[in-house]
Amino acid sequence: MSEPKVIMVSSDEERFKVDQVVAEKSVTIKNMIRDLNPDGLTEDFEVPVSTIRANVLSKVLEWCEHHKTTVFPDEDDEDAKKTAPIEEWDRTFFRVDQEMLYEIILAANFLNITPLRDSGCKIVAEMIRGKSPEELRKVFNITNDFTAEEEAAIRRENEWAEDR
Amino acid sequence: MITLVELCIIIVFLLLVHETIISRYTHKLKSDLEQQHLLALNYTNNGSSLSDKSKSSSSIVTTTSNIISHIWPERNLIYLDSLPDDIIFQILDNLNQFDVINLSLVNSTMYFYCMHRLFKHIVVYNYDSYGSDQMGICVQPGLHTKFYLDYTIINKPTFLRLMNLDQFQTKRQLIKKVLFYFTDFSPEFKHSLNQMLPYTKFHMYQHYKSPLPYTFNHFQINSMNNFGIDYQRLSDLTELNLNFDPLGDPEANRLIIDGFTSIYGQLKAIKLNNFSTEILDHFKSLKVQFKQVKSLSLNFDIRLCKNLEVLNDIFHLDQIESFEIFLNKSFNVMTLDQLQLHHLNEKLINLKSLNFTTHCQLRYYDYLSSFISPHLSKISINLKYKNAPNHLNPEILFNSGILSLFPNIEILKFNNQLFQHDKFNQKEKYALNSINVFFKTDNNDAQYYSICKEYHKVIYDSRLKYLVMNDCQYVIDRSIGGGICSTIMQ
Repeated sequence: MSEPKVIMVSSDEERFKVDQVVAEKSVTIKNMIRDLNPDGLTEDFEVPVSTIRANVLSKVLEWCEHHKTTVFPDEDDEDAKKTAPIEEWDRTFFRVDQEMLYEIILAANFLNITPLRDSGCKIVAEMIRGKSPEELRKVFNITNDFTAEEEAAIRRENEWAEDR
Repeated sequence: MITLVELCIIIVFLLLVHETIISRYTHKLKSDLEQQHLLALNYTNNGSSLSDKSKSSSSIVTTTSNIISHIWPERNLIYLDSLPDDIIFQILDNLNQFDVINLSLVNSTMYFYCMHRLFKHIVVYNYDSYGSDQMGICVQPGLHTKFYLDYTIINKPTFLRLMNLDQFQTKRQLIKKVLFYFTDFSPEFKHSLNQMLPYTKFHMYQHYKSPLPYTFNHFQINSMNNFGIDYQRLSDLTELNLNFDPLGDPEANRLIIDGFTSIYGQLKAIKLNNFSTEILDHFKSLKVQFKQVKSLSLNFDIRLCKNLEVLNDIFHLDQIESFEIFLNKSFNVMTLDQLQLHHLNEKLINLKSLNFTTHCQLRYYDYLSSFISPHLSKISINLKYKNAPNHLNPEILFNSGILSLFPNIEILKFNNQLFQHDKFNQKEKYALNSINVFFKTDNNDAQYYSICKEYHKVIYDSRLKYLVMNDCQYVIDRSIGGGICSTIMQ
């Protein structure tokens, strides 16, 4: 008999059948399986993840599949987390539009897949680095809600941290 | 016909707007509920009922989405500023102060988040006290090392201004920690600090340029705050601890290595932390000679350094007496094979002390077996992975026979617990040229022999004369090419 699988159902009701080890990259799913099946899975386990769209879920599961044997630094080890470079594979993985990038981060947050969330946040941070406020508004499609006076006041206020 | 298509487009557009609102709303909801998956489960159900309308017609959306994408440019439903708080803060944690300042000007939402990050941890320098005429902060905007991601760096006059201006009154409450890179505090200054920032933690940091203690022989340098080192003062240095910054500017790492060139010859101990292949290669290209190094400590990430072979060109491995290695969580059994650690271990023939810490689960007794130093007297094994207690049973080690390969062993530590075993007592009986192997197998000589053969190289290369296996003594005969040992007494 083949091993029981985990079936994740996306918001648009697409069903993803994956190995337990892949699904358990998500701590949320892992705990759910442990709590509901303390003696281990005997049959396929179906779980609705109705906050996640199918194309996002398929990306997330692609990541889980790739990293199913990867051992990540300790979750409490902030230093290790911060200094770890983004893996080349992850970088390629995140070559998606912003909408998808955010949705992956939110899905990782919801499913509690910390390393995926960390990578995603680092990618967003890299998009922010070295850009002027105008460039940032353009890149992130954010409307400026400051008046010219307010903006000037904030620029003056910020001087304490950037005088060189 | 045309009107039908138009109608369809309008419906889809309305649905998309509807979804935007829901997704923004639900994401806010989510951050509150994510902690408990049972709650999360309920939430998933709520979520589906909330978006029932859009879900029931989701098939229309999907089938018509192709059409829409041609008519309307792609829309961003989620924006940076609509992400949950904790995710925005995590993103900000990966930015330095200049990025954060730029981001704070984008809109009022980002301004709110950015101020929290900007004021949280502050480092205060006093450039005046080093006789420098630089009044500003010497921080390159492009630097994103851990130090700059953690702290907002300012100079002392700015800090004083910050403390006194009314406009910062509310912001001062955001300050969690201040690190001073100077020590000349007046009592008044200390007093005013405590009054202004009653809930802030203060730390002081001795700057490298401040007067060094007379008996100075240990030095630690972090690449992230490598400024103003006076290399002339280091002539007595014998121990060096280099913490490289793998994410930092490669040039900065190289500068550190170059800066110490004059003292490498006098070092007796060196610790290399977070080094990468490039860093080792740079050491090699400098042709520096660590003539006296007897103690070597390595702590690195497999993703940054995959080959240690070059260490052989940098250090005199045969004179290393103390060796420390930390395998962090980036390692696993597969990457260990790739690293070929045993090539390194085989070269450490005069090793006396071994300190071995692993966060990855591996058969440590296999790892130990790659050491062939007969002088090894102190072994410290630290297993840091989960379930490690199960593997801490030293019986495994004793039964593997590996321990007996080190005839001079005096101290054995498991996770800092000193362990003693009656097998040690037998050491004297067979003197230093004999080892004692105790295999738990059936009483079968052929089987002993085959096990022994596995450790053939280890035994053959050692200076042992006798081998005792399960109370039978064998003599190690090196004169016969393939032979390892022959029974001399029963």
